[in-house]
Amino acid sequence: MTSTEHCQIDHGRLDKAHYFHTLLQEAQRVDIISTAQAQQMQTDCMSLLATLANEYTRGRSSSIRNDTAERLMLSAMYTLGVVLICMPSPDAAANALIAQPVSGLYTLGKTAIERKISQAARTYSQLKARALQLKNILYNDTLFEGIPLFFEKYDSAYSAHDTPASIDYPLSRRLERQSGIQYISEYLQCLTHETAFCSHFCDIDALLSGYHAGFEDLLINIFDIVLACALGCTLLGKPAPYIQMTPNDQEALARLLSPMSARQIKQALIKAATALCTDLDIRSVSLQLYIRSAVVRLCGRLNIAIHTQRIDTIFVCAKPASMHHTHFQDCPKMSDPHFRALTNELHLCATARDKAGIIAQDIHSFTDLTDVLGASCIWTNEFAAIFNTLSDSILALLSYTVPKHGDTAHYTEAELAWHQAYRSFECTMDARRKRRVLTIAQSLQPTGI
Amino acid sequence: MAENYLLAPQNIQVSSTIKEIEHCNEITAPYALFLSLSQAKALANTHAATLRRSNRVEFRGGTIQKIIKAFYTSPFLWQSNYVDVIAALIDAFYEYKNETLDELCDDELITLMRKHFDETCRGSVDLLVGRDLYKIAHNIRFGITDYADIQDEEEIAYDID
Repeated sequence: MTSTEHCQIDHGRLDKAHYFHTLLQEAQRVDIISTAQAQQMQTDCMSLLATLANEYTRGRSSSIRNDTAERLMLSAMYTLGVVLICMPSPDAAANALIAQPVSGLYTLGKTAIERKISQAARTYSQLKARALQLKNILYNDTLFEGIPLFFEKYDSAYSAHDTPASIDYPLSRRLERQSGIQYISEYLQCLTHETAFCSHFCDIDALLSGYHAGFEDLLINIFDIVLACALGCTLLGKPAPYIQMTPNDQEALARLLSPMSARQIKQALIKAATALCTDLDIRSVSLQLYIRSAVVRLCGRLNIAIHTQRIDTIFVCAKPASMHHTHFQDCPKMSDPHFRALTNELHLCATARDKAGIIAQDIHSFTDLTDVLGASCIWTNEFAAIFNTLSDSILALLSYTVPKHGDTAHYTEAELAWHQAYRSFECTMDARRKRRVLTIAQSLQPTGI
Repeated sequence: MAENYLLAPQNIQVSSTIKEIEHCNEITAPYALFLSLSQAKALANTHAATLRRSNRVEFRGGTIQKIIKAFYTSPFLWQSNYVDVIAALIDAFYEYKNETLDELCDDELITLMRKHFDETCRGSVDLLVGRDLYKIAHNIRFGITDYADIQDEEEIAYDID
């Protein structure tokens, strides 16, 4: 598909997954193929289907189920599409349809598919040998279990359009609607590029851990995160290969990029990507182009992040493995009568200071603390004073507990009131204390509370 | 588009099926079995309707001819029930192509149908469909190797006595 200039057929109207079908429709629409020729092609396709059905049943049955016939027809059309899509232009493909019998094109398609399968198998074995040593489950499962399924189960003769693989790991580039061997070939090609780039860097797991504590189960594209951090480091003048960022680096990047327009950011990132490729000695033109297209996509996300002052979601601080395991063991809850007595006592207290004193003295369990906060016995203007008396660790637990995205569906009004009060308190905390609290909160294991 | 491709042959097949059925008259004549043109048309339409109902598509044709050729020597077939029995057998054939998960090839299924029609069903299509073919299909679906053996244990005991 190299030249689409002066084409009568609109390339945009062709569907890669159903190329033969859409090409035939479009070629008819622009009068490259006449109605009579199209009808002849349909008849030829029927003969092809009959031949395939006969092969499928090994001549032992004169009829097949409709779903089987449909599968065979889709497979045949896919096989024809594989040949036609490789033609220089859609017009050339339409002319090939006129010039050659459908059965001849089908034979060519089968050969092309077989060639693509061997090529994909070679790409896969090379990719497997160079696989990144990462803890992300989706990456490992897709690479070592999902893709091999395809080579075991792909039926190029009767289900060429199917993709019998379990591919969950998302690529940086969204693949166009494709299926069968064409999808796997392109997926492997993209994953090879992403792996080749990421293999220049160490401690990717630490970086991913900084991205999210549950990075092992996360549905994320690793290449995008690594590329962003590598570009961030390049922009800060750090030598390649370097992806470790600090909060100071994040602030410096925010200061550097915030005043820039979207166009300037794009130019700066493309320049950084070019420099990065030079530093990493990336000579493959296709990899360079892949990185460039990923940078263009990154720009969109980065602009939003700058606008929302969440640049830390793009340029991630790595978190060493030793940091991210803080376990929390709560004390037993107090009895219900004791809890009722305590809340009654809090109701009777006149000042926030007195309430803070009772909380500090009588509450020994984090669950009791959150229950008290949500028990309508503390006034809205008293929360800040109470929070201020709590230790950094307790505040970190509260920070971890308070929902980040304003989930209102699962909480009572009183609970929402203290969540809101805590968020306001966190905003007014001095920067050093806030950092301490957030560091502890981030290090908490999801199962810690 | 794919649907049009798949539906086209069924319409084309009706006329060729009529010719196919008429051709059978030459073979069945010595057994005093004959199908008129209207009966042949009715059978061809039954065939097309059965294919549609059983969600199947046929490419080569020849199934009705095979059924007629397999059954015309049956002692339970005579002119007055000829059309009805053949129509019911066509229906049974496609139903049990599906029910046997296409594990049986055309010839094998027709041979089994003829055998059971004559031997255990004594010319009853209802028994053939509702009992014998049902059991064979059940055996096939449950992976029983000797699927054609559908004798009940009681019957076996009776045979031994």
